[in-house]
Amino acid sequence: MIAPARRSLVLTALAAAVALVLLITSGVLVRRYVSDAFSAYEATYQMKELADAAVKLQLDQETGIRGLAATGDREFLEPYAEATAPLERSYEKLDEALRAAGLREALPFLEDARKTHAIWLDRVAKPVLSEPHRNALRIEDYGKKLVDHYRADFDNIDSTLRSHDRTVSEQVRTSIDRINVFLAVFVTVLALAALAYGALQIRVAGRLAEQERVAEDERRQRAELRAAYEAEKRVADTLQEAFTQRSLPLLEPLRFSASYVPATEDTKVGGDWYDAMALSNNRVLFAIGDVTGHGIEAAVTMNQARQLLLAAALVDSDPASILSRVNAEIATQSARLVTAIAGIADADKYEFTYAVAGHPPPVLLEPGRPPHFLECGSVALGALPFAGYVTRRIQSVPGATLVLYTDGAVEHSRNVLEGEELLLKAVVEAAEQGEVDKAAFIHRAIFQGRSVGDDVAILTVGFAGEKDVGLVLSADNAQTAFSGRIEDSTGRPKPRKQQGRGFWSEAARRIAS
Amino acid sequence: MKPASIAVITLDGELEIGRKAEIRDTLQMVESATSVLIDFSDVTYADSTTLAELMRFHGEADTRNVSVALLVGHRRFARLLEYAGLSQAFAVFDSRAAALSYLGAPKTT
Repeated sequence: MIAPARRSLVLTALAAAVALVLLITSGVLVRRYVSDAFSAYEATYQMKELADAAVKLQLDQETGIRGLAATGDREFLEPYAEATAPLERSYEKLDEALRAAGLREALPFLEDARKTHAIWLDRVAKPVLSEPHRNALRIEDYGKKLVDHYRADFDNIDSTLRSHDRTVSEQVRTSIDRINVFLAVFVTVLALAALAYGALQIRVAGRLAEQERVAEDERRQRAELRAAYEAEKRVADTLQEAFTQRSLPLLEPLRFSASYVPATEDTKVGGDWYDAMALSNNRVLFAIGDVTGHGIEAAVTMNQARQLLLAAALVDSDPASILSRVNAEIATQSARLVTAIAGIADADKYEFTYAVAGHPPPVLLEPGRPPHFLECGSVALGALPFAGYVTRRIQSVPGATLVLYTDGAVEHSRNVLEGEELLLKAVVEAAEQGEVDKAAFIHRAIFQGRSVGDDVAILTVGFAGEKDVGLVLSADNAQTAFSGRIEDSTGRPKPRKQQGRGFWSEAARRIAS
Repeated sequence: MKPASIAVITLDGELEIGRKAEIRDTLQMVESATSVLIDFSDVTYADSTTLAELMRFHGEADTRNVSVALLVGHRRFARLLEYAGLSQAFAVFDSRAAALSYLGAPKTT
């Protein structure tokens, strides 16, 4: 919103600058026209004065001559003598001024007047000066005509000057009118532009207010959504806690470990779960599953699927039958799909049986062999009402571990093949380190403290190795058996590394290559 | 002679929950075709939600007796299809010619 404000400022400043420049220019022009006009008037006035002086001085000369003619007294000749020099000067000055003002049309009149004056001097003044009485009559008959001619010339000069005056006035008036018209047009345009701009600003302001209102609405909706989300997350968390707080079965020589880590982005509540439950004194049901999607609905479906699976296992412990029963229920009761693995670990026979429904395959790690993914297959629970599932049987050995996990454990990088490799490495490392809490170790090894976008559940089911000692359990704290407290029969803490490094290092090298 | 009308749709990139509607719409367009080739050559990832869409499409196609072939270009996507049990549900190919020939298209020379 800064850009439009800055643009309007720039536009306003620009308009103001243009207006100022125009006003100054027009002011300067007006001043120049007026000043020119004044000079012209002044020059014309001076020329008029010069012309008047010429007429008056000639009159002085005539008066002197008349005086002499009438009296014969030379004293009367004084006005004549005094006028002679100034008269010549006023002719020169007038000639100069007319030329400067470009009034060439008046020059012939001045020329004619000077000639007429010269003739008067020669034919009237001169004879009277030499013989006043004899030539007195010349003043009246011949002199009067010359003087009239002389004055007519100056009348012509005078009318030329008057007309010049009018022309100058007209020119100034026209120029100033033009400037006025231009200023009027300019001010009108500026005013219209300002009006248009103002209207635009009002519209923009209206739009901004609208945007602000929409943004405010969105903020409020987001806050509401957030609150709803948090409420939902609390419920979902509670549902999820129901399984994570359950203790795992204790049945020699079986070894369980489990880990559930919710997504780091707390808006997502996943539908991952795991379970392990003793069905008899030698058979344990284990299961892992994942409901598609997130949120409370996923958590509810997860709980439903989990309880269904436990119930089905109590009726018939064949893994494929368990999945088929759960599938039939989910297909009719939920819109969601559930991927799952159900299996039975037989403590007497060292045997795993399991069935998979659209779930990533388990990893099997047995002493002396590199870890490998077991077969997967069959569609997710809830996809097809009559889907068939297959029970697979693995005759295992002491020291073997079966690792089950949800897709977040292998799909974090979006490259599932890379994810699988990382998982196999982590499984090998966990065995090599002699970890008891294998599931947590594997999670740490894969993610190494990085943030996780999806929930990850990991469940390991294994048989104690030949060198492993029995779990020493204190009745009041059975849970510790799964968090890594191990003692041998002498009661001394047992070293963590239970296996020779050689084999596991070899396996890790083979996986990495 | 079998009419060779094969609907081909192509999806690419990473298929995830945000593209669910797009994927569903695309699949719905070809539900009434007799033969469908879904080209996943450029797909490297699909999350469980979009795989579920594919699962639904499988059910729909099965009911309508539509032949479906999937063309897959990346092993990592093929692996995800295995996870979901879809490589058993659908006919999966890594070559277009093989997929078309499965759907009964006349051989192009």
